[in-house]
Amino acid sequence: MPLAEARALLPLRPKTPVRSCWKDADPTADHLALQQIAIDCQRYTPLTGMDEFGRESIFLDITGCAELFGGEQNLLHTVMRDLSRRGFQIRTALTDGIGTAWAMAHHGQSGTILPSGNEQRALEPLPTASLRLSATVIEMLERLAVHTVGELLRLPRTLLTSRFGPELLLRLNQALGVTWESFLPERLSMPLIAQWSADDALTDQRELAFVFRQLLAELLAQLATRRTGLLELHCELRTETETVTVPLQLAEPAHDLRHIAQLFELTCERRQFPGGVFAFRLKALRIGGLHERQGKLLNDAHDRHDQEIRRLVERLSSRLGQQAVLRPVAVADPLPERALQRVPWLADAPADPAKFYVPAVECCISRPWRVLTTPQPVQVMAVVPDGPPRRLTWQGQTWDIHQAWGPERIESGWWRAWDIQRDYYRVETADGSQFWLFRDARRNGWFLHGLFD
Amino acid sequence: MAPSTLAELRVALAKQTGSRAGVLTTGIPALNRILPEGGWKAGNLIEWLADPGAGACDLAFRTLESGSPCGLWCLVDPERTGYPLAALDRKCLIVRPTKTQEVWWAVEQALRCPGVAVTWCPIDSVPERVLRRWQLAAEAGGGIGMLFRPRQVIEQRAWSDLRLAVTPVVRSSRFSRTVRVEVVSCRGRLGGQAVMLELHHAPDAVRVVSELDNSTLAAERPPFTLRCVGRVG
Repeated sequence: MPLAEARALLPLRPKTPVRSCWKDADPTADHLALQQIAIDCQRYTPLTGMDEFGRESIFLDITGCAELFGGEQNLLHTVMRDLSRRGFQIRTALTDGIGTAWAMAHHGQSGTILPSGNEQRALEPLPTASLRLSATVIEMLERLAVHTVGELLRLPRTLLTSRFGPELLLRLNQALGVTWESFLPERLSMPLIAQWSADDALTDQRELAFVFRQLLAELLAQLATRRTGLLELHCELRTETETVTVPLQLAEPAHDLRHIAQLFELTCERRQFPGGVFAFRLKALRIGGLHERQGKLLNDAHDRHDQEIRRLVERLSSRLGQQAVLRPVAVADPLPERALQRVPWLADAPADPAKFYVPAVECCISRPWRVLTTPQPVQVMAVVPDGPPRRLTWQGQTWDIHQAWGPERIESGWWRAWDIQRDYYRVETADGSQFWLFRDARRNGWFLHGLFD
Repeated sequence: MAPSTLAELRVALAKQTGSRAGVLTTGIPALNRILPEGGWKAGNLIEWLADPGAGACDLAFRTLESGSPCGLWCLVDPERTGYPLAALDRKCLIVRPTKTQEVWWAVEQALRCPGVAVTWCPIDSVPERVLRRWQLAAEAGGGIGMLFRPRQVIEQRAWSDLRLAVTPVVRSSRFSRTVRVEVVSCRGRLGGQAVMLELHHAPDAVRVVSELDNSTLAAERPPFTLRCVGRVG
């Protein structure tokens, strides 16, 4: 339903506070998630498949598998328990046929185990929608006052096809188990692997790069047929004593051999391979669809720059590590060292970044451009014990303080693990330099926290 | 069509439309007047020489805010003290290398990338060959490189296109601070020009007040301004 309609359903004055949140519908993501659940359910049976009708169900063919779980009842209970633990709300039914199972799971009692031969008796009280009919056929049946499967079964079978089309009779026979039905089982996609091995070890970086390019070309050729690119690559290099793993992650799917090979060379610069490399194994961990963009004759600088930025980030991350290539994110925290977090650029961006917290102070003290990770203790002389500083000594150098603005009190709540109470001052020395000092009320000392560069 | 042909077409189009491609205004006419190109020229490497706490970063950022260069703002932060709160509205990349050679390499990569509008790096000592590589990388990338270095390097040879010295002036108030900016050296021109600027703390547009204006602040909280207090030299 539309968002406005959903919000209108919320009570105006609820007895208990109602917390609401909403997201845009994403059928593709839903389908992929359901597909993944179907693959995960292969721990119970090798044959699992998706429901092509409602796209919200999965089928498990448990023929011969129930004994491994101590019977059908235990198997059903295990499936329900495992999926419930993952946060899903599920309804299940165990029957001889796909149609019957669908009907019982959607419209019958959840957790039903239907003995063979009882399909008709179980289906009779269910609505006609349990037969997986199209909306048109259901509407026609409703107009004829046929609301349940039992009422439908009392109609002459020979007239159903001519009156409602072949679909109704087919679905009815499938539900009763008269017509055999199957589903397309989900299969894990074949892993994309390229490997190489030799008796003589590779010791030169250029040899490693050459072999990597050969294997990468083989991998990319497999991806090219699917019009996909590499997103994450796992390289295993086996030496005499160990297996070194070199991960490569890209900002977006790519199939540029030269660029990916360059990333590998940059990553290997930081690593050692004692004794040389005897075997190489590349495995594509994540792939993605390639997005082809229509090129423009002029004014396409924005698209080109985006691609250049992605490649820069990938190069920097390959050589320096992902933890060294960051993006700043504001955090709603009064402590200056925590108010600005730096997250890896290649990691997912925060879904709901916090609004930047700025203390609303009259004196409008701005934040310095340089904030020390750990505040450094300094020697300060003040006229009065709780007054502003008048002389500062830091790293062997002494400054007379010409002016000081503050204090700005920043303290953490008692529920934090550490208790912080700081009085910040922006000070200007006799030569005009400005520093950010604070007096720690807990430790009773002065610290330099930043410089107004 | 070859990429070089497209690039030539773009330059020709820019010339025909009259836009002065490649020069970013600082937003401060008095500062523009002392700069050789009348602003920050794309592909230039600019050195800011200042003591700690002098206000060079603050001034540099405000000039870039006025020009609003399109692209990524890359901060190479070897000391891990960068606090770019003011840049959160921009697309900002922070690079934190641990080794000195990695810092040099990262700055060169950022300067060379066409998608990076501004490369920003506080750094102390850099060999001349590395500075030369950075200068060439900035020319190739077309962005603006800003290096923040200690004042002591003023005696060293300059490979940057523009070298500015920032000196704080002791006439700050609660809402402002004053700095003196001097062009130490630049390509193709003699240096020596200087201007005094007053940096205010509050968000608003940037404007310049005439030299005859009284620079004493009003009692109320003033808007965000960058005032030209006086021209020296």
